[in-house]
Amino acid sequence: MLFPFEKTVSSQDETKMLATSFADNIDSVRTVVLNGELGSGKTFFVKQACSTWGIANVTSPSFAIVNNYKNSKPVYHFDFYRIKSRAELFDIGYNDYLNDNESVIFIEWGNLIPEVLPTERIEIQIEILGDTKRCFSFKKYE
Amino acid sequence: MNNLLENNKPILAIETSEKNCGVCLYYNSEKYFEYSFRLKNAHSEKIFELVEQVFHTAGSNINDVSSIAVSSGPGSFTGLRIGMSAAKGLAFGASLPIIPVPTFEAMAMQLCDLLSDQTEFSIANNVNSEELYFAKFQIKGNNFIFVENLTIIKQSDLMKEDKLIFGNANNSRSDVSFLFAAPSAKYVALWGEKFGSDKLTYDYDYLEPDYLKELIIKGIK
Repeated sequence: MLFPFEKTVSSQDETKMLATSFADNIDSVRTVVLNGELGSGKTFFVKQACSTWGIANVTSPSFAIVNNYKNSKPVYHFDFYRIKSRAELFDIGYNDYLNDNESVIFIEWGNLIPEVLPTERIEIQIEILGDTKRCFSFKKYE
Repeated sequence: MNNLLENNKPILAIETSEKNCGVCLYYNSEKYFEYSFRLKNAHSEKIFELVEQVFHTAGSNINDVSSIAVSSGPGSFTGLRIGMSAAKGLAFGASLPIIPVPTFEAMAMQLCDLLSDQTEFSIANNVNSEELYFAKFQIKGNNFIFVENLTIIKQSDLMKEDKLIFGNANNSRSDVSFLFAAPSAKYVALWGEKFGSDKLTYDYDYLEPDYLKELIIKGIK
């Protein structure tokens, strides 16, 4: 998978295919940040990516702040929407999650606290173009 | 200094600041009982098994203990909280004082037994993928002094170090670095014995691990 790139999808099925392809090709990437408006499909994308690794219990972490999943690989799924400060993240052990080198970390709304994002990451910007039409922009930071 | 080991009562020491989980019942340098394991995400499940095991092997129990020394950080957020919680629970139940032991100083004390006099060395452990807990020491006789006080630095700053580096820092300094990221529980007890009389407290409701939290939240980027 070459970065940066953009992909416009017209349906949920196309989003599923995109997420599956993405999950199959990010072996060396540990942190994936998803940004986009409410309802743009951030959690849906994570859910489809995780299903590629045999994880079927993905839900929105908006209220839990972080969900843990595990099957073929451990996945930590954050949502920064309700986080107000770096201190709040520290108090839930954010650094311990970052230090788990075997895991993949998804962070929804990562753009709200950019100073805590690892330098090495992929950012996905999701733009709403219609009911089920979305534009996904992928950018890699190293 | 009060003798923490008076009446031959041992110190119970707990070390959970990293992936190793260790417990030591320390009487003196010729008599101590120590168990440890290295297993991710298992500290909370197994730490009390280790405590029971050292007491069983020593033929002792918590009521024979003089104090509880616990590795207080910096280190793993979750690991330190598990160790501190276990120490508080044991201490409260048996009306014992707690000695919070600075983790890097216990490591430095352990390295004093391995390295020669005047050796300078650093300890660098991951805060996260960008930052490190860092301190520099020098061995003086049977003790150590701080050359640089404990702080947080960028991973890239470690490249400037040319002395021995210990810790779990994910760096490319294979020429001078060694994976040794936490003291054994025995050295947590030893630090407690040597320096703990001033730190010893029964007022541990608000005793917390030392993460250098203010520096982390402020950030160094």
